[in-house]
Amino acid sequence: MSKQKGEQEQPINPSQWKLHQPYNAKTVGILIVLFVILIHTGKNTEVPRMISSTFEWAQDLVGLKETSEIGRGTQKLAEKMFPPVISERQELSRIDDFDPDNLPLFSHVEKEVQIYKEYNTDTLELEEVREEKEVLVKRFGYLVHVIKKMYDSLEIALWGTIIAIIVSIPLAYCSSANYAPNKPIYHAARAFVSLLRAVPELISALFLVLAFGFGPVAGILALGFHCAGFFGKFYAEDIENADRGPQDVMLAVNAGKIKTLLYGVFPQVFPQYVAYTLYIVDRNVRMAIVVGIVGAGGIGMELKGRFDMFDYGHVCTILIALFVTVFSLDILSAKIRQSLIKENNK
Amino acid sequence: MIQLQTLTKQYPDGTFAIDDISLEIQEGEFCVLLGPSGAGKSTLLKLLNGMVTPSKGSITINGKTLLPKALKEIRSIISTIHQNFNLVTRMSVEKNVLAGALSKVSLLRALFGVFPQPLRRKACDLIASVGLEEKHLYRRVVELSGGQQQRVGIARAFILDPSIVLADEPVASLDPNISRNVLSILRNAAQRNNTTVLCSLHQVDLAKEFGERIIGVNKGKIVFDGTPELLTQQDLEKIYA
Repeated sequence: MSKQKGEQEQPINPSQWKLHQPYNAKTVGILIVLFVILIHTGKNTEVPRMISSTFEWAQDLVGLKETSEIGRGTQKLAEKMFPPVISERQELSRIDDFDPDNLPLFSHVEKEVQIYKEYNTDTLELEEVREEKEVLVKRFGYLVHVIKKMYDSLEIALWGTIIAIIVSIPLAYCSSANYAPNKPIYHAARAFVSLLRAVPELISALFLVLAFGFGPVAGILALGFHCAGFFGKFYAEDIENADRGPQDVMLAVNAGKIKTLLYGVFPQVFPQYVAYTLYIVDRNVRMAIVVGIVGAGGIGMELKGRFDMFDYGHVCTILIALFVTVFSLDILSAKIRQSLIKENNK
Repeated sequence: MIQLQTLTKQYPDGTFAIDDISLEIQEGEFCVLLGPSGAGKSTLLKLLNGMVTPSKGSITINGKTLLPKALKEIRSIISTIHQNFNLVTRMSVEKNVLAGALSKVSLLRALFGVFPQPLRRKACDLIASVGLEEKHLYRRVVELSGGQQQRVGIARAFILDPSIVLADEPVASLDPNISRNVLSILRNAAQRNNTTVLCSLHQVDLAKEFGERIIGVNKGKIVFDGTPELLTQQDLEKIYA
């Protein structure tokens, strides 16, 4: 910068420069408020108990303490959960038209002694009764059942995603600022998209189970509506951010909004759409299990049922199946995403 | 024929992009709009296809005044070529050329991407006429060079046999040799179809080589209008002042 006439050159003296303090009163005030909030909320949510119990458990694990509450609990649970149950046992007397010469694959018949207590009306005492029963043991029966239920959940996730895409296409069109037919429709569409996202699928599943009854329909609709909110938002934002150039050319030759969207926008945003869809499929598989817990079909219903009956061996099988499915899907969607990125960078 | 009468475009900040221009362009003419960046060339082209509305004056194309009511009809005889090609780079060469004819294709056909066979054949002829080969037909535009992309842009502009082609700095991002090649393709296509071309350029040598008529623009005003032979050093100084 040029200096004005008559202005005298001042000698530079860095020792006179004012230095800022690393922490000022405002920072200290914010930290105090945050600390008070943490103390208050921590007390309400039993954080001190969580810390002390976990610490006790850690001491127990490394041998510094003989026993701990969490240690005892986890040990009991582990004993009940392992080994995971993969077979299925069924009394022969309860199977209609049982044919001993034509047994299902990987199954055999064995005798089982059941001991239970019965009240003797003569002696007025509880007596132990031993009863021998023939049962059909299907070696992988329960595992097959879990796989079938898992498949049901995958189907719910798939259809939930399809419904979400179908619902979100008109919503995205109406909630993108540059394609919405008019302002009131634009604001209404945006509000509806926010509403769909705001209602968690577990809550909507609870109501949909009341409306449609137990089963996959409630699950599909719960996932579909919630994810339509996500797709509607993502798709609309991509439409707004797409390169205007090709769209202007098409609009200038009277192509109309819908055809311009199909040819001027859709090819540009397609890779992002696929990426979102893969993410939502991945998420819907996990959420299909959760909505099942409230009766919306799939493996979630089975998990809830077994948990309520304290069949922890069965629960363990279900959890392993869940882990394998989610992990496999994660690898698969990562591979598809990678190939898309490669294709896009060509 | 294009007629501009006292055409003015003033932006909200008070700048005059086009300042009281009156002009007549005959059918089949290859006119070059020559001028520095910010002279108002692009605004003039945008005014002609109705993307920008004039603040004052009128535009008449083939006897029809450019008003919102007549916009659709007038746009159906105008095509545009752009500096940055404005192609959908993920789409194939064929689809990009056919996209220029979307107004003539039903929504159902457009939805499923099934274009009429005669239109597809015409697209092939145009792609061949701009010097591209069969192997380019299903290539994504992103895989082509800049010059090849602009040729696709030219093929797209001619798919509906427009009466007028507006080319906004079509060779600004290309090197001189490729620029000559692209402009000669544009000129040949225009001659074949007797199309009026209004092409904005900032390279004087290219304007002199390809323009049948040069319209020099500076600060929104016409400062020269004549054949390339009449363009003197003094005129150039006025244009680039």
